[in-house]
Amino acid sequence: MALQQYSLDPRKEVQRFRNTYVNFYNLWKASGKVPDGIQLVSPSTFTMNEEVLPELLKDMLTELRKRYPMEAVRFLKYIRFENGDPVYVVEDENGLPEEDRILTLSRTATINTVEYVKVVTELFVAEKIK
Amino acid sequence: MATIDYEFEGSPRQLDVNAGDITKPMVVLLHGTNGEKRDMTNPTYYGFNYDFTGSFPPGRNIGWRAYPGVGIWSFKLDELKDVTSWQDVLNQNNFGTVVYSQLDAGGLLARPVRELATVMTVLQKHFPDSSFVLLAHSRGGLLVRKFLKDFPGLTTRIVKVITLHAPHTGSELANASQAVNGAINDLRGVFGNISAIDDALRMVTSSINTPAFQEFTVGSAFLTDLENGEVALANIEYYSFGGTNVTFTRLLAWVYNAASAIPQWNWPPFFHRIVTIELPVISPVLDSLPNLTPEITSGQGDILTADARTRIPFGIHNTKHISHAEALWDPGLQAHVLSILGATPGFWS
Repeated sequence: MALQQYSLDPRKEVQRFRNTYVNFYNLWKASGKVPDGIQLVSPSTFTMNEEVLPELLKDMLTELRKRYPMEAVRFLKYIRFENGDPVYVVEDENGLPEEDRILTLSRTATINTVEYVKVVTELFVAEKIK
Repeated sequence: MATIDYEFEGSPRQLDVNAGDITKPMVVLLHGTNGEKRDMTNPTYYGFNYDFTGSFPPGRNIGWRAYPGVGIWSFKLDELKDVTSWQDVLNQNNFGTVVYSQLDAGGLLARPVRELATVMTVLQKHFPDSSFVLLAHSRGGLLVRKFLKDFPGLTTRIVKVITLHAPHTGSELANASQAVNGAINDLRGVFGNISAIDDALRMVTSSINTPAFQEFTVGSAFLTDLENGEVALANIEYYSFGGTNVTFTRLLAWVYNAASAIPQWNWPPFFHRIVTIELPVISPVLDSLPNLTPEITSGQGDILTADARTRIPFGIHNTKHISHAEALWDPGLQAHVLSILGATPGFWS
C-alpha cells in the first residue's frame, strides 16, 4: 500500500541542490581551520570513478544511462556524513557543474538499537560528459 | 437568556429560555442519547465538527536534519469548522427557544419522558399564550413520541413535532453491537494508540454500548409498546429528517515529501518538508468500516441511525446526505426546518 504519491520535479531538485550548496573547502579555508573530526581531501588525491561506487549506485547509474545516454561521467566531489556531520569531504575550490550537466548520487544507511544509532550518508557529485 | 427553575422528582432543575417573537411558536430543543443541552446550544463541545470537505493545509518546512525524512510525520484528523447551533439559528430568526439537559441521558427513557411532561407543564404555565414546537435530535424523537402518547393532555398547544435522525423504528447497530465493536477494535488495532483515530470512533462506541441504545434495538419491547395504540394528534404537524452520510472525518497524515530523503551538500544534509495526505483505504471514517448495518453504510445511514428507520409515523420525511452529528449544525437542514416553521418575512404576521 503506497502511502505517498511522489511528485518530484528533477530539475527543481537539481536547482534546490545548487541553491543549498556550500563549498566547505572555501568555507574552512577562509576560516583557516578544518573542524575537528573532519578530513578534507583534495579530489586530485582521491580515486572517484564508477568502479568505486557501491553496487546500488552503480545500478542506478546504469538505469539512468539506458534512458538518457551519455558519453561519460566525471566524478568531482564526495562527502560522507555520519549522524548528520561531515566526516570525510573530497572537495576543492571549484563549484558545482552547471545545472544541465550536474549528476548527484547518494545512499544512506542506518542502524539503531536502544544503545546505539548511526546514520551514514554518502553523496557523490559528478558531471555528465556528452 | 433567562432561566426558569422547576422541580422534578424532588430535584431542582433549570430551563434555559431565550425569548422570541411572541407571534411565533416557542421551540423546545431536545437532545439525544448521552447528550446534554450544549448539543443544541454549542455542539462544538463534542469536538466532532470536522471539516471533511476542506482543502489541505499547505506544506510545512521542518528544517535541516541529520537523517533522511521518510514516511509519516504525524497522524491528524480534519480541522474543525465553525458551526451555528440550533438555538442560535432559531433565535436569529426570532423564534424563542427552551433547552435543558435531560436526566438519564444515557439510561432508559422512562424518567426523561416524565421530566418532559413536567417541563411542558411549567412552560405552558409561564407562557400562557404561546404555542410550541418540539425539535428533537436522535433519541429525543422517541422521547417526544412517548411523551405525546403518555401525556396527551399536555399536547394541545404543540403545533409541530420535528425529529432529526431519530431511530423511530429502532437501530440495527444496537442489534449488531458486538460485530460493530469488533470492527472498530480491528481498526483501532491497525493504528495502535493513535488518539486521533480513537477520537473519530468515540462517537460510535460511546453510543452503542449504553443502556439507552439497547432500548431501541429493532423489535425492542419499548418500541413495540410505543407503536401499540399510538395515534396522530390532530393539532400537530409531524416532520422527520434522516441522514445518509457516514463520513465523520478524514484520516490524514503529515508525511515527508520525497525530497526530504535527498541529501544536499549542506551541514546537516537533509532538508525536511512535510505535506498532508489522506490515508488511502482506511479514510474517511466511518466509510471504511464494513457495511455491517444500514446505519454505518454510506447512502443508507448517518453512522448511528438508518434513514429508513428515522421516518416518523404520521409525518413528512426528508432525507439529507449528512451525518448524525451534522444534524446538530447543518445549514441546509436548518434552512429546511426554518421553512417548515414559516421563517419567511411576514409569514407569522
